Amino acid sequence: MELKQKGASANVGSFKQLLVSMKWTTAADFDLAAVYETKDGRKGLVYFGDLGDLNGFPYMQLSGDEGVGDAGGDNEEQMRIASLDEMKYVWILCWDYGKVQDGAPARFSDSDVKLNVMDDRGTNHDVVLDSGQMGNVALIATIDNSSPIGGQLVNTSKAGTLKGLSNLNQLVGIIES
Amino acid sequence: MSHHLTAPLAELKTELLADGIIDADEVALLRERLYDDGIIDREEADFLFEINDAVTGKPNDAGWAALFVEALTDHVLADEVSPGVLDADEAGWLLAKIEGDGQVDDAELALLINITAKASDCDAGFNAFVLAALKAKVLEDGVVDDEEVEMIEAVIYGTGGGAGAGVDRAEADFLFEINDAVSGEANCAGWQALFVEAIAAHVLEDDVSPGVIDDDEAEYLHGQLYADGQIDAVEQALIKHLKGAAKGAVPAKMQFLFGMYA
Repeated sequence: MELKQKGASANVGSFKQLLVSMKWTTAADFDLAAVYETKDGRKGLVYFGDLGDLNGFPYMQLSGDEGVGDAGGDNEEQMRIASLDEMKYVWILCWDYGKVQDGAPARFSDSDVKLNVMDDRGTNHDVVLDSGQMGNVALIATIDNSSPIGGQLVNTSKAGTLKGLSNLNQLVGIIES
Repeated sequence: MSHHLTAPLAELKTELLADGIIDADEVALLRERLYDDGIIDREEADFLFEINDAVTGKPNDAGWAALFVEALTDHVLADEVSPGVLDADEAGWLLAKIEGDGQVDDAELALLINITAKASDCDAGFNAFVLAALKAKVLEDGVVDDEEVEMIEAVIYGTGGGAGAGVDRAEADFLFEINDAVSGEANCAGWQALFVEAIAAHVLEDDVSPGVIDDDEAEYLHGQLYADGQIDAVEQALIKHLKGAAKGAVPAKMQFLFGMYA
């Protein structure tokens, strides 16, 4: 699967676990994150401020925070999702930290950022990251686990603009827009 | 019991079982009688099973189980027809004897393990029976302790096992099934070490792709690791070990597991 256009949708079949990797070398402080909604309606965020837990709730974990202070080099952040049993939805997002602080457009298109989603069958899905001219937060994909059949990875690529990020509802607003 | 060297075995059995247990003196008498000619014949082997079935679960002297195991191992492995090997005829007789009273008691399990550990080769049906009996024993209390780790090691690495001193697919299945059944319990530290070492040996010390996780092995590991819907701490330790030990590129399903847990 290649996630190219905002609003496109791609059903890639069922899976048990996901490994989301974001790599870049250009000088920018990109952040990978996941917002989730549990089957009983709880919402939460896994990001650089709360790395999560792979072996306990929410069964997803971020590797760490790379590119801090717009540092270049071999930057890589990974979001590992080990279990979706308690989840109804998981939204995979990334943002340009510096530009979110300023309310300015992200630098995704000027960078070499590459995003890859691998499922437990070893199938790779490359993601083209495009938040558009004005966006600085990109919703990359939605994991829809609302069906009893199993999780589906859907391309819901869309963007939003924030000026400062202080609470989860700001991200939920972009997801639900 | 001054006539113990000459009395008929049936008469000897009646006298030995008069008090319902085998004590240390009786073990000594039995050893002297059975090894008088240096050979454990079939009549003597049958006699040992009859005694054991009668005293199983009783507070016998520890030497009884030791004699039972030693003498019956000698009967099937120190014979002239198939020395060192448990052949199909021997396996058929042995399993019929062990299943005769509908249970595998501790002495019989020790016998099975000892034969697997010492034989140069065993009948395939016998090996399958040993794994099933040992799994049932280990899972009785739902947790793996140090003594059980020693028993499992003796069978998995026993020269009479399915892959000789190596670890074959049936033995790997056996380990995964036990691990799934005891996952999250207070198992001894040796269980994780044994599991990791043995499964790694199964996929990396094979003749087809030594040192490498090939497609078939990756499929197998993936299926087993996800079999119970969770990858527990013991399985995560295996994945970490394999990432460090496997040579060359790994199939995509293993790349995923390495990315997730290693």
